[in-house]
Amino acid sequence: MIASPNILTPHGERAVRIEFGGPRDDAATRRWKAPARHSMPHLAEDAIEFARLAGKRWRYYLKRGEAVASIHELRAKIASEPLGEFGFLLVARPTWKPAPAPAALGIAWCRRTWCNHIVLDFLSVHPATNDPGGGYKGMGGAMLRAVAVAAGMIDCPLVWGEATVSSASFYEKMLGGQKIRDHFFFDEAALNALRAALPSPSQLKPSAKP
Amino acid sequence: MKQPSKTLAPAGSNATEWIRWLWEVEAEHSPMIGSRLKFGLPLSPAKPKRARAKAGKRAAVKA
Repeated sequence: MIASPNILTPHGERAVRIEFGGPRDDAATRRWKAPARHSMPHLAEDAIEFARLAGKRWRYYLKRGEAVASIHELRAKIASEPLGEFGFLLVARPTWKPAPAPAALGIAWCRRTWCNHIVLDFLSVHPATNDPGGGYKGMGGAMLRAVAVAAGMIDCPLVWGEATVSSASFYEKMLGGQKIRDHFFFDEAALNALRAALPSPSQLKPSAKP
Repeated sequence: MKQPSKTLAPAGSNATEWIRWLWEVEAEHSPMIGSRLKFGLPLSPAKPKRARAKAGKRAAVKA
């Protein structure tokens, strides 16, 4: 497990378990469907499309032997090939019972580049959890915090990504109001801040355990 | 003396004030990122090739 941050659900705060994904998670995200009612249908469509495209990228890297499914595997790959590019999928799973229908509540497709930076190519949260009217909040932020933790595990000093027209304002606010256009950078200070917002393992609730 | 009332976080909460602020930001601004054209990979799966009939069968159909 990479991290276990809390998100807000219709039943209160609940911890999600964020870990490296495997081939089965690709199949799980392919089953994502938009709920019958969504206050912002375009967000539901984006979520599904981004998740499928991330899954496609995951399969492509997997075929080429450049995808990893655990932090140990990632570290081993980096050790054997320091300039190699490796991809990984982070997946958020619910820890509470009864669990909501989707097995994967959010995904982040990341690439570790040749100079040990991380490129966040896709970040998507399940349509049921990205509806502001649905009672869920914080799934995307939780994924970003897990990416920061993963970066720390491989001494990566920079995470960057391409902001979309609809997400630039989120990253602008998250990064302290600096003007964000089509790209954003989480430097070491920002990554440390993201990591510091995570609870220590002793603070995790019993329900947060898998 | 009566203590001033405080807004208490739900029991077992591990969310900091900053995280709670972030939740509200996320409720108004989508954090999702991705590019549809980045990799030039179509979403539709490749169509399976049609099985080619054996030569004898093709000849029979022609006849």
